[in-house]
Amino acid sequence: MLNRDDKINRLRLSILVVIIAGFWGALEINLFRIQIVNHDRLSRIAYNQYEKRIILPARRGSICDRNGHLMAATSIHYDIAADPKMIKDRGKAAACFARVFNKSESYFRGQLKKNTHFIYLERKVDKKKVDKILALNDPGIIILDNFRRDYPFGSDGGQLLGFTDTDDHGISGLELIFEKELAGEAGEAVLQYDGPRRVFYNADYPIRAALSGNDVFLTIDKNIQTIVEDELESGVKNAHAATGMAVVLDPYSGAVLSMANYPRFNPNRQEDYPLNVKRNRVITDVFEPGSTLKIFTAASLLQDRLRNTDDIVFCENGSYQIYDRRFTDTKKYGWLSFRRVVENSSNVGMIKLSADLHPKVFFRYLKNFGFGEKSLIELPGEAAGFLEQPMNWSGISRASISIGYEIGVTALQMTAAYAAIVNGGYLYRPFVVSHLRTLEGDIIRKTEPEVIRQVISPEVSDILKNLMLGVVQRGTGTRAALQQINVGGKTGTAKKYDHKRKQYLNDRYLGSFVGFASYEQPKYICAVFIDDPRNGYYGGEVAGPVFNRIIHRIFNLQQAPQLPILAGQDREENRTANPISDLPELAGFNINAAVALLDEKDIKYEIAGRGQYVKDVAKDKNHLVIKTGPLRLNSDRTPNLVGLTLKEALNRLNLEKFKIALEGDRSGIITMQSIKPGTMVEQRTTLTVRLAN
Amino acid sequence: MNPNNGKIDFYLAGTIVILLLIGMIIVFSASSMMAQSNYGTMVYFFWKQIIWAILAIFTMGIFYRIDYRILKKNKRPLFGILITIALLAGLYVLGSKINGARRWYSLGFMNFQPSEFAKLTLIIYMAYFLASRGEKLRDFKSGLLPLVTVLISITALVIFQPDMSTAMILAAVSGVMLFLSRAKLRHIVLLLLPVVPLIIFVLQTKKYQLVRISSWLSAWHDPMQNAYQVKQSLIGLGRGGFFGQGLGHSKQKFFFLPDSHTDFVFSIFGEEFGFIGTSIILVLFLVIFYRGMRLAFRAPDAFGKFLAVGITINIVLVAFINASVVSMLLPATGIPMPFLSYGGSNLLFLGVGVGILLNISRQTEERRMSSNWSEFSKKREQFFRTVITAD
Repeated sequence: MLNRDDKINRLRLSILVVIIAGFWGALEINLFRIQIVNHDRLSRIAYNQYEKRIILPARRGSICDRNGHLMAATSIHYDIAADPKMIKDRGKAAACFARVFNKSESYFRGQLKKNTHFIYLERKVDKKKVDKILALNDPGIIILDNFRRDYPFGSDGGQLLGFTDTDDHGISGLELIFEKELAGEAGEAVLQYDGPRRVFYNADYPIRAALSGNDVFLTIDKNIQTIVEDELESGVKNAHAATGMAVVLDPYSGAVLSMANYPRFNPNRQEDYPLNVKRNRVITDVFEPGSTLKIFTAASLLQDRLRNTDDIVFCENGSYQIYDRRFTDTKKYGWLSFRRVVENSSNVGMIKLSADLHPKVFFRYLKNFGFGEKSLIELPGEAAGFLEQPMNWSGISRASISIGYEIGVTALQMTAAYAAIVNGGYLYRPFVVSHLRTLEGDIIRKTEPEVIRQVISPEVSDILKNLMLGVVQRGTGTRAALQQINVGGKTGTAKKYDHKRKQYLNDRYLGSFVGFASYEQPKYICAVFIDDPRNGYYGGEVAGPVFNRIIHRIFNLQQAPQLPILAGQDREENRTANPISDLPELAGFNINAAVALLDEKDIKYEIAGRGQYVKDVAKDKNHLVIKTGPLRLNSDRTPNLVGLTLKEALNRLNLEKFKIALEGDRSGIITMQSIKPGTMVEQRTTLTVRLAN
Repeated sequence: MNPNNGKIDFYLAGTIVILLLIGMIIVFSASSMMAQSNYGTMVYFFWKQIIWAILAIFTMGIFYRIDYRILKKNKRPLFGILITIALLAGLYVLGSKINGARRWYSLGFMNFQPSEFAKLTLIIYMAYFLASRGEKLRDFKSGLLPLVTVLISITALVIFQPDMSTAMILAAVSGVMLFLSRAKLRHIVLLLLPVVPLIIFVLQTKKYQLVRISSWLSAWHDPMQNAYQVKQSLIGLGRGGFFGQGLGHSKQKFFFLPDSHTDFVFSIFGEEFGFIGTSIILVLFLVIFYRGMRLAFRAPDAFGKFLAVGITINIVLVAFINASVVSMLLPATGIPMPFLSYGGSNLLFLGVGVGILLNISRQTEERRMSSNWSEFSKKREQFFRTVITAD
């Protein structure tokens, strides 16, 4: 087998060939495993290490009252943490923390000695304190900013405003219904990293800037809201009642000036409240109004010219039977005029006066006043109320409805319908949002007052106003009367219906008063509902005084000088502070990437230094100072300047190392440089560059 | 017999030129970001690689023209090996220490690595020795012992630089040459026996080697357990997929993969050209192996045969070991991919080796003995020569 001439052993060579071929085969299989079988997994790992998506959160819009007072705003608060291993001067830092947070110095000293890279020191810190800590300028201190929805006036208008969840999504109230407008649209930046975690701007994915949410401006007047909340609270408490509602409306536009519920709800601590307190019952709860509805019966009778205010009716000494149902009065009235029936709120009188009112006609009037359907106010969860079709009415339905039973209304419906009685007969659509404003200050979606229909004539309106004045002056509503101001109104004392036992309860009432002020020049409709009062129950007793106090204080308010808008100042801070805090950590960014990001977000900035990378960012009140550093690696080497403008070249150069001499044109592009790119420069050297246009 | 008569092995030469061109391109792509950041220009390493490649081709041309038999005359291989030992020993006195190892002489314009030189001289020496001893090789004392002495002293000098990977390549290449010689298999096995305790000894004294190997073993279950560099290498290869991301689209070269243009350039190549690309490279090395072994049969004398085997194995084995390291088939060692990795002296010595190989290829028996065609071409060449000299 062995050829004497052939010094290569053939058998052994074939073994070598097999080994090498085997080696090759193993390599191919291994590469197949890595490159094809594991391709997806490894690509994902690669993607995660070189690309990062940063969500740029959008500023959530604020909710303001009609004068611009902030009622809901997103504010920043800070969490202070530290990396104990990075802290420069532990003693100094601990002393500073102790001073700022009023805790013992030894506590912080202990925290800063812990063997970890991250420890919270204090949470929810405001800006002023943060500034003091920033002044330490210690690299070990970590400051995290968080957004928090803040309701500066606490519980005032709480149910109306609603609240947001921890992710700042609206859950109820205005926060919910205007979620889309308030939230804006989060932006996104796709950044590219390299191995040492320097950041590059990825030109393939331009930064999508966050769109700030719009501000919602309400028709609510913060001052009136406070008054109404206060007076409703004391009214409910005086009556030992369970709950209360109150609405103040501008009768000539339908603008809601105040909408209040008791018990109070403070959206700042929404998690502490039960669900039924968070509900805005003014629009969600349907109830039988009782005597306050008699005004609409009267309106129907007068408008249809069926009755005159001087018509008289026998009130059956306070007890009147229709079929199996007995209607009673609180007093045994005999003969009363229509006017006196309204003033004394006689059920029997009103039932007998409306005997000629055709159910269909009566139904049409009630429907025209807006009962039985949603007012379409921009609030979530509004109830339509309840009004049966006349064909389904029983024999006693007309009588019941004429005195405010067998009809379900909401407090808002009632108030809006009273506005139509007072303003000359025009039913306005109630609204609570006056306009939206973009971050740039453009007003969008302005709500104009909308007349839905004319229900009664101005003449009838005048008569009804006069009747209501009588109620306050002589009738059931005397406790609502004010000394200087003539007001009109109507009381209501509705027996509550027990749905389980299907009967009216003799000891549970809903006391209400709906009125307007002033008589001569109605500017406010104010409706007050006190549910289940225990200390007196007549509407005139429990709700009348609340109306009185509210109107009194509102009129005083107008004489008093307007309070300076304090909240407005916070607002300015909010506006400018927010976009800055939206920014990702800029340190390590390529300067071009940082500038692109800032331009995109329209943030003012200054650049300090001439480096290519962001070393540090100082957040000032409303602009940023970007401190740049030269890239450590290339500062002593000559960069390639050919093809750059002089300005760009100067940015690239470490000017401590190079003295620049110019040749050729005064401006243009560098075509030649005297020192070759990459050359190490030991000491300051003259670098000649030739410029050409 | 005119050594310049025969035709060059075009398959071999062509494969090597293709590899050199691919090398330039991939060195450019892999080094561009690092060069831009550190030297202000993307082409810093690219230009250097081009210059080195030209120098390598020039060297190749010189050795291609020199009859390889000159190398064995006047006991030159022995001188070569003595110079090698002197250079390796001199490292302990004059060598510059980089990363705790004395592997280089700093010559100012370049770093000279004697172990590269050692590989070449050892291959020449072994070829000379194996060819001249003939039947004596079958006797251990008179035949193999001098060779083994040289082998062990050189390997030991390289091990203690320390440079384990080069030592292993040296051992592997000389082992293959010995294996293909007439030496008794029994003797070769005998030689291998002390290698095992030696490896264990070195591993115990150099803890970092042990760490490398244990991290390599644990990474078989989860590649992400691997040491940073190999992990990044795998990510690069894996990202390549079947067709690759395309030239210049590597992300790993953005400072994720250290040594991306030198020892780990194959990973960047795999990222940009995919499984197809890496397979083509491996097949190109297989072509070199095939042509080299073919040469080993056809070389006119035993010296040429062993020389061809040694040089070929030195290229192919190194390439495969590099590919294995990059793809985690073997624990990490620092050896470059022939022709593809950036590096001056490496390319230069490859040029020398390939030049010798090509010179052998033009003197194959087949060509000399062959027929009319050869006669004809000889005449034609003589004709042209007269024309040229007449000019």
